[in-house]
Formats: sequence, C-alpha cells, structure tokens
Amino acid sequence: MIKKGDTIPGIFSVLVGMLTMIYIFTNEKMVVMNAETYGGIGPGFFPFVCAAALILFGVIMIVQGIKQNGTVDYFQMTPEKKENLKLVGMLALFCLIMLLAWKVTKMFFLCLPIYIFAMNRLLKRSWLFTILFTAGMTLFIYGLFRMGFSIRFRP
Amino acid sequence: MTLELLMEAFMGLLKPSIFFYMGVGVLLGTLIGALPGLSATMGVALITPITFWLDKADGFAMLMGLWNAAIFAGGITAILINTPGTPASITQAWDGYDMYKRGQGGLALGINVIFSFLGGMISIVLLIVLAKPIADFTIKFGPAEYALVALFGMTMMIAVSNGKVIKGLLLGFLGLALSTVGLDPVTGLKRFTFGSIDLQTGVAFIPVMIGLLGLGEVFYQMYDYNKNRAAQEQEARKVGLSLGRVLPTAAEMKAWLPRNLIVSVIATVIGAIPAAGGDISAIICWGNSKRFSKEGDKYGHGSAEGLAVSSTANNGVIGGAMCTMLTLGIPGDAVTAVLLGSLMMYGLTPGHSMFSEHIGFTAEIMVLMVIANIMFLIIGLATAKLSAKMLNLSQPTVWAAVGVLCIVGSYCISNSFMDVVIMFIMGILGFFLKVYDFPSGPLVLGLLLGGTVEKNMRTALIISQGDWSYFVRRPISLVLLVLIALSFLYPVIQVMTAKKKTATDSETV
Repeated sequence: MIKKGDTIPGIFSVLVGMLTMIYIFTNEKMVVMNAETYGGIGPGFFPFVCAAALILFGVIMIVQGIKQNGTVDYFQMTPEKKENLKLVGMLALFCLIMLLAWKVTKMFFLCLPIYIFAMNRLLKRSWLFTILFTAGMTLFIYGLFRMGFSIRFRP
Repeated sequence: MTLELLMEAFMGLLKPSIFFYMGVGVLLGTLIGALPGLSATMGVALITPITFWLDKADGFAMLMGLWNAAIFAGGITAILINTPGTPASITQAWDGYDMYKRGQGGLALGINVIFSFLGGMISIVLLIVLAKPIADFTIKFGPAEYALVALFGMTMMIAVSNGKVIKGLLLGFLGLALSTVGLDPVTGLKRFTFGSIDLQTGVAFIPVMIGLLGLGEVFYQMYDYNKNRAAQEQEARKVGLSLGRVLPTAAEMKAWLPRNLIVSVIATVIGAIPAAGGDISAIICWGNSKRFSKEGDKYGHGSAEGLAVSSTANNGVIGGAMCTMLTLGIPGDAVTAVLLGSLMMYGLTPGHSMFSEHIGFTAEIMVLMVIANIMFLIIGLATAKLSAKMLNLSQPTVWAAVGVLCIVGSYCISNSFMDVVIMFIMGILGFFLKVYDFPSGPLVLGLLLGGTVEKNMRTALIISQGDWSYFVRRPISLVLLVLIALSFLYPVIQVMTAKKKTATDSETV
C-alpha cells in the first residue's frame, strides 16, 4: 500500500513545523527575539526553535525516504494485516463516535456500555461473553469511579 | 536521609489502607507484568488517575506496588511461554524457558522472585544512601543549570534511541513544541490555545502517556496480531509441564549471591542514567556476567545463574531511576516519567525541595518501595505455581479493557473532556509512531521537561540580561553543556565507528 519509507512522517513533520511558523508570524504578540526586554527572547522563541527543528528533521526524513527508494515498507500489507488495519480503523471510529455521543448527550453511562458492546462484537467475541463483559465493565466503572470517587462524567 | 526519619515514615505508614492499596497494586502489577503486551509503564499510566482520588501515601503505595511487581512479573511469561511480559524480561526468556522445558519451571519462577527482590532492595538502599548528597549538590543549581539538566535528560533519551537519532530528535522537538501550548511562563501570553480555556493550562502529561502507551499500544497490537502466532502461544500455555521445586538450595544461593550483589550495584547505576531502563540493564549485566562466568557457555541455554543475573538486573534499575527523578527531576525511565508527572500534579517539585520541605514524603516513598519489594516477594513465592493460570487471559479481552480504561482514566484526572480528546489523538499518533518505528520516549521527555527547559532558560537569560555566555561562564552549566554535546555526538561517533569497522572487515575479507 504505502511504500514511501520515511517520506510520509517527514512530510507531516514539515507540515506541523510550517503551521507553527505561520501561527508565530501571524500573531504579533508571539515575539521571537526582543532585544529590549525578557532577556532578549520572547514567547515565540521556543515555538520558533521547535518549528524550525521539525522542518529541518522533516526534510532530512523526506530525503531519507526518497533515498530508500521503496526498499523500506512500514505497512507490509498481508491480507491478515489489511484486515487488522480495518479493525483498528473501526475501533478508532467507535471510540470517536462514543466521545461525540458522550459530549452531545452528556450521558456517559448510556454511551459506555454501547461502546464496550460494539468493541467486543468488533473483536469477534461471543454474544454471551460480550454481554457479560459489557455488564461487568460498566458496573466496575460505575462502582469505582461514579460511586467510589464521585466523578460525574459531565463533559 | 536519617534512620530516624525512615523509621518515622515507616511507623506513619503502618495503616491498613497502605497495605490494602499496595496489595491491590502488587496484584495488578503481577497481572499486568505477566500479560504479554501490557507493560509496567502502561499499568502505571492507567492507574495513576485513580491514585489522584486517594490519599497521597495510599496512591503512591499502589503505584510502587504495581511498578515493582510488574517488572518482576514480566519474567513469568518469559519463563513459561518464552514471551517476555515486559521488555526488561527479554534475557529471562533466554534462560528461563529452557529451565521450564527441563522441568525446572518452579525453580526458575522462584529465582525470578528472589533475585528481583534482591536487585530491588539493594537499589533502594543505594537510593536512600545516595539521593540526599546528590540533592544537596543541586543547591548550587540556578536556572541555567536546571535548564541544562533537563536538556541533558532529553539528549540522553535521543542518544539511546537505538540508532534512530533523527526520529528521536524529531519527536523530542515535537514534545518540546507541545510543551509550549498554554500560557507563556514569563509573559503569560496565550500560545496555541485557539480560544480553548482547557488548553490554557497546557497539554496535560498523563493523558498523553495514556494515549501513547495505552490506546496507541492497543491499536498497534490489533494491527500486528497474527492468528498463527497467537495459536502457538495458546498451545505453549496448555503444555503445563511439571514445575518442580520453587526455592533454590542454600548452596545455590551462596554461589549466586556475590555475583548478584555486584549486578545490583551496576543495575542501579544504569537505572540512574536517563532513559536506560530495565531492558538495557538486563542485556548489559547478562552479557558481562556471561563473559566473566565459569559457566558462561551455559548462558542462554537454561542457566539458573544467568536467570538470576537477569532478574536482579531488571529490578535493580528501580532505585537508580528513582534517584535521578527525585534529585534532578529527570526520569530514569518511562515509568519514572509518569511518576514525575504525578509528583508535579501533587504540587511537588523534584530536586532539593524533596529533601528539605518534603523530606517526610520522600522518606515515605522510599519506605513504600521497601514494603512493595517485601510484599511481592511473599506474594510471588506463594503464588509462583499459580501464576501460570494468569496467562490464560486472551488479548482481545485485554484490548477491550484497556480501551475503556484509557477513556475513563484520562477523564478523571481533572474531569476534563479535553484530556480525553488529547488521549484519543495521542492514541492515533502512538499507533503511527509504532508503525513507522519511532521511539516514543523523546516525545514524552520533550513534553515533560520542555516547560522546565524553557522557563529556566528564559529566567537565566533575564538574570544575565540576554547574555548567552552566562551558560558557559558557570562551571556546572559548562560541564552540563559538554555532556549535552557528547550525548549528541555519541550516536554520530557510533555510526562512524561502525562504518569504519565494516570497511575494515570487508578489506580483510
């Protein structure tokens, strides 16, 4: 699928660095160097150094990736791995939906069991196990965190 | 650290709640360590949010119990199914599994418990003896030194990032960049908050750890799951060979003890080096012991002595790692990074203040470590033969449980939904970091130490009125600068030496 070696993370690093630079230079209070006060450097100095480093090392990684010329393959896509990657994507999606539902409904103890149930079915656990695990885990979280520590779970 | 102070701390800790929470910690640690894929770091990161709701001493009792037990329990899977439960147990598999196949599984498990205890205890004694003088030395530190000590900690992590120097540097700076989110430490200017009130306090450290090491690890394990490999491990668990006796004989103990006392000291020193954790310690100690032992040829083929050395070495780092963390505020390994984050959230600043105004609590931490060792020795020996049963928990069950605990744990630290969002983003990032073979340690250290570096460096520059030579004119900061330069140059020299050696070898051929 992706045989770009270190190029992809390199591009991401350069992007993050450039976005940070844009933030610094479009915000007039983010002073990088200030000869008059604060020991010669301003609030933008450290973010600037980090952004510059991210761009520099990102470029190095892109060059490394190009030199690798397809020999390094981090995503070695066997049929099993493809299936696994789909599962990872689905689990991440379930997690995201759960967080959104929790934020919107404010009902954590309604969203949680649905999430646990969906996660277990995704992982191909039996119906009986899924029901028992969902009930057990929800009760455990409710008992320990809601009853024991009085956490309200209101985002 | 006086004996009276330690005794006072011990008497203060003689409460049922301490033993209850430590017992829970030891049991959880044993479970976490014994399950392949769950590390001590992940366990400590997941449990830390719970400890914020407990009394400080109770919370640390649980964390100490979990940490100490998880490291030793990593050896259980190494011995019984040839799969290290934690990276620190890798050398235990080399000897322990062969012993198990020979019908000496019980003895291997016993050695694991006893010598993990020995390594842990010696390193704690060294921590008690050495921490105070090191902390006293830090009185001479000003902002320049604190900034450079933190920077040194970060460069060390990069230096030991297994040849992935560029990747380590990139992530170190990404961590530093993340640490700049929130209010500027000098001017109070809002940076990268994008109007969010939650982000004004910065990116919280614990949710980042939970995301990277918890959810990210679950995603990666799901991606890397291989049905055939899992089936083989399942078969290995079913074998159930006879375990035999658990305790070594007096003669065996006498033969192994001197070597392991030396290993304990070396492991403590390795543990004190930032980023050098139990895995590095175990490999160095096991390798050198093999070289100097009369039965070195048996190492790696079921040597009880080799297993004892490995067990001592991986728990021996604990005291050293705590020493660096408590005195200098630099985590010795990933677990102490989480503990450092916990200390900071309790409002405690590692360094000299831990040995002046908070010395009582520091003494309590040390005593808790001793109690945790004694507790896992007793529980470990009593349940050595039962531990094989714990391995029957399937990976999908663990993934589901960790997936839920990551969400709950990251929320309940400060009842912040933003923390859960950060944890989720870090989970996705953690997955891609593992796939693209990035060492996540530098990111963690960058985030954790970034604030210290920035605040102290800018304070130093304000004191010196913008004169950068201030860092060179102060003797301690000069030494630290040299050390930073060396730790940056070390990987470069290593690569050059390796290239030269390869060239010489090919010429010889």
